[in-house]
Amino acid sequence: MNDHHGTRISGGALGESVWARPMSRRQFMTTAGIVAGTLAAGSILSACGEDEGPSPAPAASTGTMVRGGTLRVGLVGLSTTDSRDPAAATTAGGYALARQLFNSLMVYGPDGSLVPSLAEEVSAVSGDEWVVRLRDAEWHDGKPVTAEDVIFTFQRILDPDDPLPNASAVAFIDAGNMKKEDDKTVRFHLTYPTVTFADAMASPLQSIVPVGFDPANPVGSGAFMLDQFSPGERYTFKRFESFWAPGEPRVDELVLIGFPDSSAEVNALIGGQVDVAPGMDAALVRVVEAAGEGFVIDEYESTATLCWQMHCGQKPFDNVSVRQALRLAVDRPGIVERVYDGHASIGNDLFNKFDSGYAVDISQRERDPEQSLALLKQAGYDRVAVELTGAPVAATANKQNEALVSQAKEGGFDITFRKVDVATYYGESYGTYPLSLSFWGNLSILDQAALTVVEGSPYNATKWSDTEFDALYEQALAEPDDAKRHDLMRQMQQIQWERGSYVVAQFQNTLTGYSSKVAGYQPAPMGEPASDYGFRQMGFTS
Amino acid sequence: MKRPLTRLLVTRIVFGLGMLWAVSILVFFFTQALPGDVARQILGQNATAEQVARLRLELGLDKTVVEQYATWLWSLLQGDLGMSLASGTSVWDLIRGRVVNSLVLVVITSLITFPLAFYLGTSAARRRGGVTDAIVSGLVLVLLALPGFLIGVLTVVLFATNVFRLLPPTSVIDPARAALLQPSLLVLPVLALVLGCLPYLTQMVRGTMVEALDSEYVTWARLYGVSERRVVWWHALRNVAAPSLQVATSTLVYLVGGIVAVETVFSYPGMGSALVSSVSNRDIPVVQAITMLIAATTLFLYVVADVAGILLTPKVRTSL
Repeated sequence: MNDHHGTRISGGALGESVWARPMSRRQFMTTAGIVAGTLAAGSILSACGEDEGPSPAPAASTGTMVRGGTLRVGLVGLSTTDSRDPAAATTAGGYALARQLFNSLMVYGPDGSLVPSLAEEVSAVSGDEWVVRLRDAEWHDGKPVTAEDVIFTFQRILDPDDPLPNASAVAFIDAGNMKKEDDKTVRFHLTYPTVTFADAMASPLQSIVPVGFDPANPVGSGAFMLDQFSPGERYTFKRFESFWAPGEPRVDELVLIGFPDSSAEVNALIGGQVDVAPGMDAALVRVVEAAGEGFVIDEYESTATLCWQMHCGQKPFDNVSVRQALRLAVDRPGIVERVYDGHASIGNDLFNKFDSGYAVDISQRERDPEQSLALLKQAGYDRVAVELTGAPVAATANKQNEALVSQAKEGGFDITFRKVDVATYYGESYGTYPLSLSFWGNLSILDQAALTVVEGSPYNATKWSDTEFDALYEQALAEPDDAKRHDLMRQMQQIQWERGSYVVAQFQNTLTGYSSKVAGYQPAPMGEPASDYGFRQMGFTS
Repeated sequence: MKRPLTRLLVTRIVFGLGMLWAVSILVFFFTQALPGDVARQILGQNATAEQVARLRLELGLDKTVVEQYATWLWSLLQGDLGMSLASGTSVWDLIRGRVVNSLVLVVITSLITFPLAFYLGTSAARRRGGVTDAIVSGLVLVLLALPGFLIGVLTVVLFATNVFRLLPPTSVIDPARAALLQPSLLVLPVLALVLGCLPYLTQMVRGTMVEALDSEYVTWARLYGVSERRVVWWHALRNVAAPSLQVATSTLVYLVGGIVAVETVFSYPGMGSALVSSVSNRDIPVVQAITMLIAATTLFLYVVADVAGILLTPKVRTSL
């Protein structure tokens, strides 16, 4: 029911505790020009040598990195609900914990492509049969990571009597039909062909845990071991000496410190209380710049978007002309400039422009108030009066809604903006608002469709339904050939562009401020925020 | 005189408890009325309807509100604050450290504010119309006009980020060590709180002191040749004490209940910020526990001040 959480299909929703502001931190980053797509069945993803885990960082920032030290990272919205069980993580803090303590089989690398992590290789025998081979790795207690652990992990998630909340994200796995080939190899049989199997394995929720896992004493295979756990306030970690990636982690200790909002986090950065401030609000870039030398701002484009949802089950947006009219009434460059201070890129009412199947050839929609008025007339309206429901699901949400109210006037829309708080927004009335602003991101195009618009999707807040689209989706999900699948996806996007229910006006950039003493920060275009919480790659320069 | 005093105490305490009970009803029903489903909150959005239904059953959310209130009140009377819905641990474990942290702020702030307000107020009153009076009254006016969170932000800008970088801009107390052992993190929040509650008390002290110094008994004392110092700090101050006590109590109440803004500005892990986050988490037992705690402290302070005020006012005391 809630679409705010910008996760892949393998990702779980964020708890409400972190919706209010942390959402803005869960900005899903993408570097321009990088493509990351769903994997074709039949393709093989394998580790390319010893050092594939940490991918080569920009030379300039790693040149003088030394080992050791304590890295202090500010995170907005650590919560008392942060879970030490990766499969039960619903918050940004839970995701961050999972990334330090555990490994998923796959991750998205800094160039946005899928690379093996705890797996050495994930390969498809056919669309519904996949083989996972593990790398040599140890648990924090010194035992080796084995095939049994992988089987245990997914049986635990999919336990029919008590499935974990993220079970729906790996529903394609046949829990009773995972076969151990040898100590390091597992053969998965899927209940239906899924080209996105390997993508799903990149979520922190699908982190591998050891047989007999106890969340209160989280033994993992990650680069850091949990030292102190003060829910919602501070998590401290010590380096795991036997971590599988050579030279990592670079620091001896890691401290994650919670802040209620981005401006406190940035103050702490300037005041020297933290070394890294991920997920800064765009408005704070100037604050860091004004603080002088000694701070670096890292910025990259992402797939995260605050987008408007038009409810197709009620007036006025049941009429496709009215939906198209609103899309034409929006001033996209205006939003990028005025709401995001330029730290965003323009959207075209389609999701994830970094998906390899993204339809780049569909023309960019431009503002055209006259055309908008004409479409309204065609739908039988002179002007449209509609209520917009919005909550501060990200720092810029209210501002963006206010921008729409003023921009859409010229195109014939009289919008009343009803502000509610985040928990109320995602409460019982969610999915009934005629017009609302929600947060999405970091989902492949197919996953986005699966979650929001395809028949039976769990978070269909716009009640959009299109049988032609659904048929194309079914074909694409089972189509192993890249070119053919991309063609199907192109048709899906054409439909969404012509009669869809979302206004995707912009994608927000991911902004991170850090001390110039710190190096190793890498983009994670398709990963979780804050460089996919990849703090094991960060260290201090001499 | 002994008996009327006992009666006074008993009536005030009974009245206080009655108020507390009334507050408990308000707190319980208002928090229950918050929109948003707690069970779904805990499980995240990927949970199935069955999982949510099962959890609702476990949490007793299927019972009527009155039943839930009775259960809650009964546990509360036994000192059991319940379990946090969000974290699954006991509420007391969750907020204990934060209650202590807030208490640290309140106590330090009071220890600074009260003597300072008396000193400033008295000095201004003694040299009415003089330079001291002008400065004190001016500052009081300026500070009165500033909301608490703005004072907090200004202290950060001035002492931590933009102008000087002398002090840490945020007060993220390391939970592994006591707050008192991290004094540099306490300076700015305490400063902001002192600046926030100093003006009321100073103004009050000045006003009553002016009145007292104009009174006949002070004139008589002066005529008798009593030293000015003794006139002010002995004769006049005693008459300032009772009315000031009321303001001091209000100041304390403001501190206990109103440090939310300052705690939020400084990311200080106290009761106020716990209240804010539990409201957005819809962690109802925590919200209830903290509001009850604040209400109980407030009522306690008022009862104490009430009784003390009577004892400090000879006219009222002797008429008991």
